Amino acid sequence: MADTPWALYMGCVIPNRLPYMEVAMRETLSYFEISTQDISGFTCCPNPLTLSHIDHEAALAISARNLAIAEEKGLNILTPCNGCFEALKGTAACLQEDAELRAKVNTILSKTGHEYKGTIQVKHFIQFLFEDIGLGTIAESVALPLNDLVVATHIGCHILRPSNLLNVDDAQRPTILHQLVRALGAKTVQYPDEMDCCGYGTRPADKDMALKMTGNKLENMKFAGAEALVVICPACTLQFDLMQRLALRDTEDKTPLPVFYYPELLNLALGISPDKMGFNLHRVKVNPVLNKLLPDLALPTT
Amino acid sequence: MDVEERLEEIAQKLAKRVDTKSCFQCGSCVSACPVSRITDGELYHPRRIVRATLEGEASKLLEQPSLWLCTSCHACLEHCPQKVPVSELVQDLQNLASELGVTPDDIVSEVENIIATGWALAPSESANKRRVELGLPPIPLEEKGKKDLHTIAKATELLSRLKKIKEHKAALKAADEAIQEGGEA
Ligand code: SF4
Ligand code: SF4
Repeated sequence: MADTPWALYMGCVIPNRLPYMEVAMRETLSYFEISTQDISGFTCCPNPLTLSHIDHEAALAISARNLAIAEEKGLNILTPCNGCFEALKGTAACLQEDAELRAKVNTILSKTGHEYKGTIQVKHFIQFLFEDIGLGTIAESVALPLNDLVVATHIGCHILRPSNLLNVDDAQRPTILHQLVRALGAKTVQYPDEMDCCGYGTRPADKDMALKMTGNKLENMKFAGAEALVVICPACTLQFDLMQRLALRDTEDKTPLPVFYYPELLNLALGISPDKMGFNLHRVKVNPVLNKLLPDLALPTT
Repeated sequence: MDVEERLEEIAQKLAKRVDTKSCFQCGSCVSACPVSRITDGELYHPRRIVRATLEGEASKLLEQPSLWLCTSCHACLEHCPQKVPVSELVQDLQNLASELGVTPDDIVSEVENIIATGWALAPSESANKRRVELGLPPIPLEEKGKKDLHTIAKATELLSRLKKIKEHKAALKAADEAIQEGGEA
């Protein structure tokens, strides 16, 4: 299935709440002339933080239905979201491993007129950039090296773990996001508890605890010298960007830390104009970083 | 449903995956767990959850709100030297708690939304308007998908668990009101 074209599975958070992430992803895809398809028929991945906590079997069946929808059209799945990736890739891997479980899930699916045969590949967009486009091509394409920019990365949990199912990068010491950022000329820092959750997963049970986790991480990143944070997941973006002001409420250092979706930073480095992206939709203003990279812009910072 | 029987099933499922005696209570899962660390191990403690399950004492965990603090980050599972699938065990226990009707409201309302609209976040008119301004295609409406999700919820235990959760909540509310009235009388 290596040459099979990709169906875009956007999920629900990005299209509804963070469309600028989708804009950035589509800009990158068109820059590298990757052909993808928007298809109809998908539903919720479903959210691995809610539905599977109530009924894991139903979650597997709903994911398998999404896999079947792409499979029926002869497409692989490409997704920009960690949660969607874990749900879809995790299910595909589970059903690959366990024929009995696949039969069980297919019995449920048969009631919807679908069957998942198990032939599909699921990739996270960042994994695709790393594996299919490659660091070499990315580095060669850089028109505006992001020299001197110091970046903290937060790759997030659900692209990595459980690693036996997802198999993208080392689950405890992942490097692909660091490498992708460095390929643009920027520097990455390491900080304590880099592997910890952004906090989003504990929101339904305890919002304050979630914010505390987010605030701790932001503080560690800034202390390590980061001027910006790079993420690859909408849930992490909601915590770090949308909730940042609240998350910093109880921390000592209240300086804002601009948050970028990796493709946004990539596009800037590729020389794509910031006007083509939705930077104005970020909650934490990114102008200080844009001014540093593109001094001619002289954007207001207050 | 017999809770003890279901807990026995969960413990056996765990035993099938790993030699249960292999959890030597080292606590690696606890030091890996961001929730444990932020609560100093007081509210939430994966090692104790594993032990309670293996010793047949997990029923007391099922009604505790702290069971839902787990972020599903799977750090515990990756750090366990004995490959105990700790986070999967927590999810099994959450599934069982849901069978008893105990689930946080925010999780329930999202799941109800998923079944009703096909998505955790249903496409809204304002979102589509903004998408058009950004040059993005509108989000397609998925009537067949919605129907299929309902079919799946019915073919699994999802619908019956949601019903149970509602009943449980109503019962708690009634009990609460009875106490309030008793207090006023
Ligand atoms: S890390 Fe594994 S062996 Fe150690 S206490 Fe946790 S479950 Fe048991
Ligand atoms: S999955 Fe849950 S129990 Fe395991 S480390 Fe993460 S928060 Fe802790």
